[in-house]
Amino acid sequence: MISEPSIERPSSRSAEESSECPACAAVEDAARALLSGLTGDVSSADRFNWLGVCNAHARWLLQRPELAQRLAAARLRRNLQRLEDLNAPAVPSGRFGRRKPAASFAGEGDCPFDAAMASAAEETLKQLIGEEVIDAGLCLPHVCAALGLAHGRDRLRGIGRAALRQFSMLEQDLSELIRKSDYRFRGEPRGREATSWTRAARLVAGAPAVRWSLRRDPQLEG
Amino acid sequence: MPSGRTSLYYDLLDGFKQPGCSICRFSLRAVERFFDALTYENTNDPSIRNGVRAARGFCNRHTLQYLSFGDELGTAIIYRDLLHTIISALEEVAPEGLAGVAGTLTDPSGDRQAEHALSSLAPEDVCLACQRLQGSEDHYLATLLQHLHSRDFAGAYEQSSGLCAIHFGPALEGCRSGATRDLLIRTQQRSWDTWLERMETGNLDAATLQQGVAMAVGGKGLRP
Repeated sequence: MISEPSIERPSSRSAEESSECPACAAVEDAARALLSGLTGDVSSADRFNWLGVCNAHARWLLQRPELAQRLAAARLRRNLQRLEDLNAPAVPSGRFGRRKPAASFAGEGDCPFDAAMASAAEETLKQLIGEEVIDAGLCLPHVCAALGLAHGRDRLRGIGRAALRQFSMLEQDLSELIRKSDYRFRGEPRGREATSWTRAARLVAGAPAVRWSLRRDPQLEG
Repeated sequence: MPSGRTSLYYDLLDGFKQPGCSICRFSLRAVERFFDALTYENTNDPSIRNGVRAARGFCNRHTLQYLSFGDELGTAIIYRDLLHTIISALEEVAPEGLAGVAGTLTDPSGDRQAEHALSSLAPEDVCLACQRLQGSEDHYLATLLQHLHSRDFAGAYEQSSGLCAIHFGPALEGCRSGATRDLLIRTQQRSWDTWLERMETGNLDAATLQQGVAMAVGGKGLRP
């Protein structure tokens, strides 16, 4: 089973969670704030783009079932309307009469959660770069975004060195974990390397709250 | 076996008897199987490792899915290999010694350095699991459209829940005959009408609500 990203922040955080990427934390906070502020008004007057909520964030809404239900109803109603339009007699256009309809039943416009998260990430990174807090433990997507935002050789080098230090330590932990997986060393007590496999995966991918496709194009956040 | 009736054809026939979009069900199953094979026997497969390196790991959602398999050693091996690639790219961003001095002289602003670093660190390809998902979706959609003209298959499809909002669009776009197009629209209209009615009623149980959301925005883990 896929573990669904939780928007509830755990009350007590373990050591590796407390060292998470600050941009990811800001992104999660922004999404959480947006969700808690929703009233469930799916009317067109609402500025929240219900029809644009993406597949991943629609699952977040399941934590507030009344919102998920309204979102699904709004999307189904809109799609049924589009089906009606397809069935309506076509107005002849062009040489060959009926024009082929645009078959779009997916979301409409940008996902509001993605937009809020992207701007929160950008704001946090600009602040970190401005204050020269570049030893902040950024995940890979946010390292890329920070490199895209930073100007000046010293800042770039600072971001690169901080990331290099972090990823090198992680690589050592992974090597230690692999060594201790050997039957000859299985009896050795485990230390911080025990969690390195999940830390490495999360640090490379970003926090669960970060929209998954952002990984394909880090520039989206920068 | 009649020509063209592959295992995908029979998968779909079975899938039509169950609630929800069959393309979602089988595409997501293909991803699950990909990770199952990865953890069981493909950790050291060179083509998989090349793919993981090129995509700089898995996308966010598929990383979570991979971690849920709990393959501690396999994950450690794959990510250590990936970190070697990332570390090499980062070493170019922060060169030490003479290389660092030379960089300062030739590129004082660091703009070229940033550009180069981004191109080295950014993914060169799409996540392997996303590729598997897309490939599976394409194959099942093609099989669906290929057989909708046959009476038995079309009859079974008409009795099904139809497709989700994500897969209905491409299916309609791929239609080459008016009869198939009408069948797709008719089935979809009935299915979405039923789901809308359910979504507009009062309290729903969690499973029904999840299915309703899946019909409206696509199956869980499909795409943003």
